[in-house]
Amino acid sequence: MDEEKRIGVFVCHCGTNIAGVIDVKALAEYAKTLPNVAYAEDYTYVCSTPGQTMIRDAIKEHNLNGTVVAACSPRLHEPTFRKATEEGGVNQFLFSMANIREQNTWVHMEEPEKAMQKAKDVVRMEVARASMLEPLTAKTVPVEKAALVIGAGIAGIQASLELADAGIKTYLVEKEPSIGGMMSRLDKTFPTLDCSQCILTPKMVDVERNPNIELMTYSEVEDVSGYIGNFDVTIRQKSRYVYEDKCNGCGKCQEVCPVSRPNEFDLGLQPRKAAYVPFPQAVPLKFTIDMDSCIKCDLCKTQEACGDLEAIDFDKPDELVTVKVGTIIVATGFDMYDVERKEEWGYKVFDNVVTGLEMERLISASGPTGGNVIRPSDGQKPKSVGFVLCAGSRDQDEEDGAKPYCSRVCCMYSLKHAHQLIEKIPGCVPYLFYMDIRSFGKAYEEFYYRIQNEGGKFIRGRVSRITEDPITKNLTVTAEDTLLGQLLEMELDMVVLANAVVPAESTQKIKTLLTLSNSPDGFLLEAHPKLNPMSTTTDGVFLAGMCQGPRDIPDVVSHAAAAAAAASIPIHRGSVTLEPIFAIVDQEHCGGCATCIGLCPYGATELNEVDGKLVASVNEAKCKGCGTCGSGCPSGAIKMQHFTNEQIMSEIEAFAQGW
Amino acid sequence: MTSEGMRDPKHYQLGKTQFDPDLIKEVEARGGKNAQMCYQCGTCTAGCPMTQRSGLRVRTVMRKANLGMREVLDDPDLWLCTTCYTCSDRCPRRIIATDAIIALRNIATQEHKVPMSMIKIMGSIAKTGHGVPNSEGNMKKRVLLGLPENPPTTHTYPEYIKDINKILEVTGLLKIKEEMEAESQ
Repeated sequence: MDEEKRIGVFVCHCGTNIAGVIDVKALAEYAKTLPNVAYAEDYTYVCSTPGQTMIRDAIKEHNLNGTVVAACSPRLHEPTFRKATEEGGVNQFLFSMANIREQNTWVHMEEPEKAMQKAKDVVRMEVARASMLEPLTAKTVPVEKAALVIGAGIAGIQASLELADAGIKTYLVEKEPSIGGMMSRLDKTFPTLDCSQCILTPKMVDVERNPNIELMTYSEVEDVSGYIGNFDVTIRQKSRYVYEDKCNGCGKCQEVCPVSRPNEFDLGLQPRKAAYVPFPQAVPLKFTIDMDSCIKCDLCKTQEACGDLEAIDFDKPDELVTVKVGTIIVATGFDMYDVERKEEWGYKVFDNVVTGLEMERLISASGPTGGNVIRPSDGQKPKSVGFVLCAGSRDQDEEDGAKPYCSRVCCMYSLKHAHQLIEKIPGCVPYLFYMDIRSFGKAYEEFYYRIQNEGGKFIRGRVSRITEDPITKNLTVTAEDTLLGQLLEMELDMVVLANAVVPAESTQKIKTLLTLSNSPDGFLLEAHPKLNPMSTTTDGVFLAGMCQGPRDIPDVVSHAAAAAAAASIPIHRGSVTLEPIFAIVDQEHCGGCATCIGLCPYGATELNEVDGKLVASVNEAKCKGCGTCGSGCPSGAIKMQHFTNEQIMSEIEAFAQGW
Repeated sequence: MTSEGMRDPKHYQLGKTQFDPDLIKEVEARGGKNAQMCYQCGTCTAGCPMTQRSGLRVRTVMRKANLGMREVLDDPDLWLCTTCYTCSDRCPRRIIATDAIIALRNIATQEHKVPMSMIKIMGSIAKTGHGVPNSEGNMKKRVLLGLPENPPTTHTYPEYIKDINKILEVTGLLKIKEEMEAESQ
């Protein structure tokens, strides 16, 4: 360093978070004794407006050319203090942060003397590092004016419509033959009881008609490369064995198809053909031939069926499509807990034990029974129906794959089922076995009152066991009414297990492709649980709906709209600023050994021929600044900007000086 | 409020109700894992074979233990658990309620709150090595089935009874037995 280093140290009290444990004034005094420190001060909240002004003014007044703030985690306020440093006229990368809160006073509050020692060590180290920092310039890259939405349930549909309405070209990818997702299987929705089809299908049609949305159904994301603003996405359009442009949705192929197999859309409660649409209101209304069950009888190609349309081609291959997008929204939804694993409840053993989603199809006007609720064993209308709430939720039993969290929708949909049963079957009594009724949303508690008033019976106790009478197929449910302290053994016609919501299996692949993480519950991890629940730690990738955690339809729609707004910001801005914290290769010293190529977890290093010699280079936009390549380079040719060997060594030396 | 006006947090008395917050910690320390996690769903009581046959209510036991109601230690039904572990298998909170009951029994025993019927069983174990020793009728049935009169336990090897007594002595059970027998005289 040619220029004399003049560093300012600012010690934050953080109210009593820091000042309640250590002597902040003494720490500032200590900082003044360190080499290169020209100024040191303490303040109650350095992040506040007066605190930031203090930094700006001190830089000018004391002619500082580097800053250190001893406060919280850089994750919280590094951007704040960088900005204050820059506003004072010093390059923002000449700022360094000493964490004396999260890693010190919060965890060592019982040992204030040692905490003080540690605070001194950390401040000394950061001052040493700040003396070695080099000014850097942030880079800007242009952003592609297009977005990708993965998954076309209500979350993906909502997000796509919002993006498209904001004038952004949106690619909506759905793995199933139709969009609509789980919501399209529902009959009525709580608490307003408007029918799912009536509110969802118009949105599905809007998606198909919107000129800004390119809908890709029966398609899966195969590969993603690039970075925020410039993602290259490869999408596999699985072959329907039907030309979408030729198919007019007449359904004649389905009529003649002799194959019968369970329809996944109806959870196997009714059959479909090998040539099928999952449900009549499907979007797009294009038929798909399920090659796994097709017997290639060619009946669908005859003159009576598809005939002159010639839409069917058994040899039609999958197609790979590549699109370029600026941002990505993940809306991959959820699965239902495999409640068969709770053997004491007898699902799939006893005919009349069904899941909540199966009840939804049985109660649905567009379902296999046309909305007539019947019990599976004999087709009779059930007169007493038990509901087991928290079936796999709020349950710590990992061996059964149960989930410790609340699934947030089961109380309410069970209340809704109870209402529908009372309405549809005169004299039918629903018994809800619950531990707590969680009716937390707008108009939800009122809905709970309503069902109580209609005659729904609420038993506070969890079902221990269900047994079946082999002749009548009636079920005996054993539970304790914990409010009476009395054992109940109730003979019921039917039992509905309100099974838990679990992370979707299909999300795993997307998670890997986009280098996302998940929280301990298995759902995708957000950037911040409260203040940024729709972003991820991968820049340019956002989350919408249940893939991030259980939520009901109103919350999914809000979340999706928030994700769309967040995803449209970089696109509308037109460019993004990239942190200059990336590796650079000194190509003179690079031996072209390719060690760094295998080490980089982000695929940012590549080998190219320069002047007849193989040398490595780093894609600055892809590089996350982890430094793995630099530590692995045998010839020391890779420099990690902002974390150079010299900078790190200076910190270690400063640490050692204190001992 | 002055410090004299504050309640002792260890044994606080709320009107006529007295709670001991340390009871549940002791239960957990003695093997009743996760006992504090109970959310009173009643799966345990509903699955318990003794619910229909006795006054034992596992959920109620867990509730009293959690609140610190030491009266639970006086409950004779505490001793009717067959330790089949059905409650523990089905518990959604992964509480081993059976072990919590065993812990409560151990505490009750140390406080001389074990029923005298159990003390009698203890005496039988000290004398024969069996809580329920072999009987004449049982011996006849065994012979009819082609089995020896006695099972291969202390009934066949009485020399090991002294070792069982050693266990009873080391665990302090013999002493408790003697003291309780003296108290009941």
